[in-house]
Amino acid sequence: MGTPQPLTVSQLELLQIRAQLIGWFPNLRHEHFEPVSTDSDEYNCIAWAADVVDDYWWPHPNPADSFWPIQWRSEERACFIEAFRQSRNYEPCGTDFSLESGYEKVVLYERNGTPTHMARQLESGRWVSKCGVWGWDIVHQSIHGVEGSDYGSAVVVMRRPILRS
Amino acid sequence: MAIDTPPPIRGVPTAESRMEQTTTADGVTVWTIRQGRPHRMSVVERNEPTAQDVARFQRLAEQWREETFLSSSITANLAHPAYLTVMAMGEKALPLILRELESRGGQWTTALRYIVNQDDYPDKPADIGKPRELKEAWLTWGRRNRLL
Repeated sequence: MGTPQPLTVSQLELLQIRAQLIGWFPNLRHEHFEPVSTDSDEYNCIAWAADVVDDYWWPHPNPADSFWPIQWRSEERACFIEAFRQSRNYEPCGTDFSLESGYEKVVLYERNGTPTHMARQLESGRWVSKCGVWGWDIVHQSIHGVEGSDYGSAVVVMRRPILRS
Repeated sequence: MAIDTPPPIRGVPTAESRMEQTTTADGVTVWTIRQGRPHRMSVVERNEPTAQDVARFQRLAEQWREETFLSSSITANLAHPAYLTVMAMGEKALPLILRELESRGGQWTTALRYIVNQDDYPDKPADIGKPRELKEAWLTWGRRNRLL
């Protein structure tokens, strides 16, 4: 677990980043969003959905190239669900993307039946996504914000009870 | 009759000149003049990329970065044609990859492990899957081998 480095750029640079994000994710034009951390190559979106900032999480066949929390490595929905179930105690709950009191949620996206992206819900009900391996973290209002030609569509939500210490 | 003492060296002798004696199968003694010490090319000399290599690598690296920028799929990223082409450049790409890794980052350690002999890997088993640790291990290796 860790914290990504906050984004500190000029207003002009911020506008350029926003324009680039809208170019990639046109749905963002219709909702509130903001890039919140620097572009980092030290973690990907799956890792960030698991609240990890120093690993690539992906079921790549070679463990030397990426971390995967379970032995089963396969680029299919069931494997991602099982990975988050075993490692982070999430359970699938259909397509209920709403903010539920007492629960944390993550959402899996697929394009052409293949997992592409995951986002995590914040306490505010908004969602946070790491853009690939290279890009920024962005907070977006709905799960639809990053749907499109790159990530496809949100297909399944998983939730776990929030543990308060 | 064997010659125990070599004849005088003709030509311009140098401090590095030496005579080597060999005997053929029919008993003839042959003296061979060796000029200079044997020169073993360093990793740097053997793998110095040309200007063409540099330009090619820069094109490929930029293409790879642009076309995988939003992708979290490690499988897709490492199978990208531009990335595979860099791997196929072999040892000449080593200094270029290391410079790119240092300046702009990216998951280049897979390409480095493909090109470099397994016995020379600098990363420890505990580093596997840790991008920052892998990057530091390889950059240190690159500096130690004068590739960076």
